[in-house]
Amino acid sequence: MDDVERSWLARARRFDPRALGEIYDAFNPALFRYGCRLLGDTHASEDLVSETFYRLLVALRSGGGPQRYLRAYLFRVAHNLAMDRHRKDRFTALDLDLSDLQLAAPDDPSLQAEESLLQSRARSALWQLTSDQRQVILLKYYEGLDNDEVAAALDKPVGAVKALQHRAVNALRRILSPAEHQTELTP
Amino acid sequence: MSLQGDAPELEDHKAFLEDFSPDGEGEAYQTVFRTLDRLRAVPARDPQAKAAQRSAFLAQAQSFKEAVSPRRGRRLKGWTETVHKERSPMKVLLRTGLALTVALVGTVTTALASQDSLPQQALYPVKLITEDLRLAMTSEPQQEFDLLVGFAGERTHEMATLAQGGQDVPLDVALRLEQHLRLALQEASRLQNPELNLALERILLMAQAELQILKGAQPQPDGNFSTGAPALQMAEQSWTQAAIDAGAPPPPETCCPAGPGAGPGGNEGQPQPPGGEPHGPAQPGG
Repeated sequence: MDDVERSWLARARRFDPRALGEIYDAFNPALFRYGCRLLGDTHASEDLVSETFYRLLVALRSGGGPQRYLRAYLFRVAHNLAMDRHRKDRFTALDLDLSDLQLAAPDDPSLQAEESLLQSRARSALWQLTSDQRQVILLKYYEGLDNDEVAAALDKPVGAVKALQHRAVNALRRILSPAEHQTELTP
Repeated sequence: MSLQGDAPELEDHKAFLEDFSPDGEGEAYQTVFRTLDRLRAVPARDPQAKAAQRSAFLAQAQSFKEAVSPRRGRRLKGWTETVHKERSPMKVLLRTGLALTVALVGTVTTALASQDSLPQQALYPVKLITEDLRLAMTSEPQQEFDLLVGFAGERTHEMATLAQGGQDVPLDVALRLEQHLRLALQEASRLQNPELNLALERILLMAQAELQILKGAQPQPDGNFSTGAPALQMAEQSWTQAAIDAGAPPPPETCCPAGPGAGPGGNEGQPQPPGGEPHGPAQPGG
């Protein structure tokens, strides 16, 4: 993947449409998932994907952008954008948009509501982590990036990633455990 | 609503748990992972929206390609890679301003705190530097005269405080007092009447008061300066000479060499106040 990314990057700097198309096809699903998990909204996630790729083009045009880890760079941009969006939306009321949910039982409204609550709780727990901890969880746990790529996305040494991961999981445990006993809704 | 099927599947979170060694019971961590798994699957995307977005991205890229000529060279930013951080000009400006403000406040605070210091104390050099600066920033003869007689009074006060506290009085302080008085008389000579008369009268009055202070600081009951206090003795001589230069009649020791019969006491060694002088104030520095 490393060599492929470097080849894409070299061609993308010349604005080769084929390379840019391949980059878009390779990474837009992951960025969309990333946005959905953080923001919980498909429209916002689509915007996040568009804006992330636009930022990539702007960076390439100015001679900047990633030197090696393209995927990590895109996730870092996406995370920053998601943080901005979250700051703007943090004081708006939470509404449960059932049409945006991914559910095991789409025909049962009560199960939909329950699933929505559990997802909101998981998302809320993620937002209570520090920025670096949250990125480690999202990139390693959900997307399966290796430590080198996560380190590149965080702009930190590889050794720090494991420590961040450990602290993130322990923090999630502290955040989730008290309420878990009271409102265990999982089957 | 269908689920998007291209999310990576991590069986039993093995890849993630390779680097993770839990503290304590595993059940609590299973709860964490079960909760996180609620976000693993995401809604499927609208294919048309996705295709439109891709087209927009490529069109944007094409417009960038056409609009921008190739860069001749890249900006020098090696230093930013060294320190891993590019500083914004505004932050640098704010930090510099803050540093200057802190330095200024610190300097002013130190200077103010030094004004009550005595010789041989840590802040005393700051006090002297402050005085020199004030003097250097003054150009008017009247203002310089005011500063110099003020400094002379301060030196006398310092010496008296040290002597009364049983501490040694450095000779440097007396030398500085002598210098202040000499310069004050020089500045007075640059004044015109009636400011000149007022300045000389002020020196005479100050000399009387300061000599009394110096006498009071003497440990000997007879009022004589001991050989152990040469600085005080020198200070008294400086004030007496300044008073003479300002028009006071010379003390008996000055006009008549002191013999064995010339004892201490009375107004001996003290300049007369200018009010009863038969002659006007003499021009100093002559």
